[in-house]
Amino acid sequence: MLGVYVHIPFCLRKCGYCDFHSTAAAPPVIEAYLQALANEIEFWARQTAGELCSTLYIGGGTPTILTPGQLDRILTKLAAAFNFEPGFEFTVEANPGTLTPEKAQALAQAGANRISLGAQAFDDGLLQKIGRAHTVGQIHESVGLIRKAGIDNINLDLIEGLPGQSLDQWQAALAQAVQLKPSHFSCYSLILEENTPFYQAYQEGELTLPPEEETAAMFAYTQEYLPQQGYCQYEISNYAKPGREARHNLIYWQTYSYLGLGSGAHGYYRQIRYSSTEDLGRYIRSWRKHEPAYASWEPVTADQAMDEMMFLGLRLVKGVNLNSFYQRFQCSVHEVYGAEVDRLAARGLIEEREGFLRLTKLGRSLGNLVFSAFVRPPLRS
Amino acid sequence: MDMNQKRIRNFCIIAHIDHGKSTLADRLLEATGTVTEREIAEQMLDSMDLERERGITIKLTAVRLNYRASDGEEYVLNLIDTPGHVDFSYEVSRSLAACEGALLVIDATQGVEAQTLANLYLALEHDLEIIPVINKIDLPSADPERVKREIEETIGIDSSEAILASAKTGEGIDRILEAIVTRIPCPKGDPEARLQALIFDSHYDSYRGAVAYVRVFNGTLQVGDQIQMMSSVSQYEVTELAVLRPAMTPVGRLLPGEVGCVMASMKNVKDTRVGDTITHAQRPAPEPLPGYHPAKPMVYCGLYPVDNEQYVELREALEKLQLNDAALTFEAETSAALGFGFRCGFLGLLHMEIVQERIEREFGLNIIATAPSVVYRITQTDQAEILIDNPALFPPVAKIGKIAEPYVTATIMLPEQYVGPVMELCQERSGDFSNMEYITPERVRLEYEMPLSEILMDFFDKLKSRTKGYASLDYEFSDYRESDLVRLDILLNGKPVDALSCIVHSDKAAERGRSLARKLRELIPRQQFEVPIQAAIGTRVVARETVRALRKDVLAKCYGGDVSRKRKLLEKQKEGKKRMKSLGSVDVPQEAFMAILKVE
Repeated sequence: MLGVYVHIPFCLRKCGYCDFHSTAAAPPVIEAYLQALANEIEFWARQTAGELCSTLYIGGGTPTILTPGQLDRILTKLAAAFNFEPGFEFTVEANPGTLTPEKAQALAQAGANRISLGAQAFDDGLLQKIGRAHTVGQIHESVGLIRKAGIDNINLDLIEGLPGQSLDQWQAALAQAVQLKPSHFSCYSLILEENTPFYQAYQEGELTLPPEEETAAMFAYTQEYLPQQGYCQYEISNYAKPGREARHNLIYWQTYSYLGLGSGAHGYYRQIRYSSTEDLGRYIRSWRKHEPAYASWEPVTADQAMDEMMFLGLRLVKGVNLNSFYQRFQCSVHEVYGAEVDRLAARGLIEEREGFLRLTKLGRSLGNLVFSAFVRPPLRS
Repeated sequence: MDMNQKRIRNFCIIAHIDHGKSTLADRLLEATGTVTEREIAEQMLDSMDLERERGITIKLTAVRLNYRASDGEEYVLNLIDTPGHVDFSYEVSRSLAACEGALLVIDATQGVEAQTLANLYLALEHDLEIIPVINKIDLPSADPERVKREIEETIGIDSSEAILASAKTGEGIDRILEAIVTRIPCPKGDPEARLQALIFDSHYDSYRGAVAYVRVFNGTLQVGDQIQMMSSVSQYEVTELAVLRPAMTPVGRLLPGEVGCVMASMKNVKDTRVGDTITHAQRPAPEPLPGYHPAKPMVYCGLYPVDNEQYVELREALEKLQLNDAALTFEAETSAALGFGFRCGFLGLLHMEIVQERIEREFGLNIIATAPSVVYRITQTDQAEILIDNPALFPPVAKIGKIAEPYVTATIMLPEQYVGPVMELCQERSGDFSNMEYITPERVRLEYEMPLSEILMDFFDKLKSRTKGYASLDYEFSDYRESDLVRLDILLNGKPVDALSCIVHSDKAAERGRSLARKLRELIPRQQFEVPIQAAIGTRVVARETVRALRKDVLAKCYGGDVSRKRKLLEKQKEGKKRMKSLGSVDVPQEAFMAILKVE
């Protein structure tokens, strides 16, 4: 399995909580970037030499900040450059307020069949407070545009535990979101990442977040409510109608390979984790000359690969397939992590069911206690 | 007397921490061409990492300097280093015994400090010629006149002979070297007499075995000699003799007054006890040089591996450290909470911290140290007397007749304006006032009799904070005194944790229990389950706190771009956990076992 991720590091403006690589850039820079990206696409098309690809995901940033012409050009180039399997999942991230009928048409025509929409909240006051450039009305509008363009596989991103958000407000947001009938939900607890304005404000006491009890209750409610509405939880923060799980994201959690194209993108290919430079100028200068511009390049050892298969796989509700682990590494999970597995099971955080090792419901709230147990520090040289 | 012997000068440097001893030593080495400036980039005499980091000298060494004096003669100057800290006063005393003179280094901005004085008194006891050096005169805040007055008042030395110097700029170094030659007497001793060589330091070398640093007082020591340690019957054949310049340079013999090291296939430093006298096996000296007594541990604590499987490794680490550190003692003990570990004895708190850090750094072991304890002398109701160095082993109250605890004489030097707060602190710590003396109108010397256990309770930090860092402390054991003491127990999750028990004065017990419970609530991280903390004296619970359960701790997002970064976050979380001990289902961090030292 091979996925392709493409990063568009541009936004209308930067949100207070976001530490993703993106900037508000001028049109000529965006154009220069797309030309560089086209060269990187060609490079990887040669590298993978016709290898079958299962998914394509255009993320950001805000891919829908591009003009319809630019979207058409880059998506068509991607679809032609790689050997995608028939019916492959083709996702584009979009932000309400940047999506126009023309852009939605362009996406559909280029073959996109799934849109991940950054709704985040269903309260205009809250949306403004967190620095989003859109309104609740625009969320509705965008969903309409996407459907009209013929794309029915829609994900809504939502954030729980926003500053000043109560459990009641969260419940109301979910109810509104469900009325839009998307096929998929990603509900993330707000994480304060370093180097964000939110983190800064929190450190300075200018930002109050709901107490842990409250966010725990929101998380519990989400896990209860969405399944009632027909969305099955399949990962800690992800819920889908049957058959609508994000195939591209499953590649990450099941530690399959993926290419990462574009400035700041990360890839995992042939047991190597790599990332491209976040320095836009360097990215553009290098790829203009068809020269790769990487920031990191790290071979993954067998031990690390095992750890990753565990702590990423355990994010999935069904858990880690013990047989797949054995097939891949020629040793069992119990041989490698026996003591930890026993300890975590005794504490009621994980359980073994039908050949899978998975988090219990409690374990999903305290996942880090489990994940960290499966991380072995690299050997000191 | 041999002409060469007349041109030997043996001296040491006495200084308070930070008064510039190491820098001064570096300058002397440089000025005599013993090492070049480049070689000195790292301070020469302090070779252990820890020493360099903490700016203190723990193990001493000796260096031989060749110096052409203004009289045109070539002199051999042996600089014998002394540790600056009170924990090591026995070692200080031995190195002073190897000298005829001492440089007394005093910071021109700080003045005479308690430890300087303690070491100076030792030097005077050994009849050493004292050369006062007022260092750091290049600093704008230097006040050499005040320091001179302090020298006259405290030491009674004519301060007109004090040398003003700056080890940093090199000013005064020439005058110091000349003073060493003209004012310090040459060593006496007869090369034909029976051999007496004082061991003033030793270290363990994995190739050579124990290496003894000696000062020859009488007789001649040669390679091939059969030698004997006078405090034991052990005999060895000298395989190698060397002087340090500062690299080990082999020599054929050592004559009276000379300083060097002796290698004789000795297994560990216990064979080369500091303070012992080496003599010839066939023609022994009638008596040893004065003053050998084994250093006695004053402070004990339990050391346990975080991972029980590292017990053997911990024992090996302690054994290796002991090769170099004869003052360290240990014996196996068990704790219901912590499993198998060792009760270790140390000269003092600093010694304890150094050993702990070396175990972690040099041997890569994660250890839990329990709070330090003194040795209590308990007279049971059946009149039997027992010594207890571990609170967990305290007998039941009904069996205790009397308890006595070690007292020390604490000497504190401080600026006059802080006398009030410091006296208050001493009284809070059950100190009995014994003396107060104005050294100068600005500086005071206070003396208190105090329980050693109170000194262990973060006394030094408290002293520093109440005097803006200006006070200095020295203490020495005085005697055992009867005290009203009780054992304070801590229960986590309703279960007593023996390793958290401590002995406290009964009038402060309830208060200490409350502070300790509060402190533990801060130190024990939230975990899967709620953790009740109780402090109890006997069956009476005096404090109750709760660490709330963790409700949510999970990375909300992890996608392709996050794997490496998230992995690092998880590694960090795991690393934090590695430093914790699992007691049943409660993970307790290392610091918790030391919490009692930090309570108000």
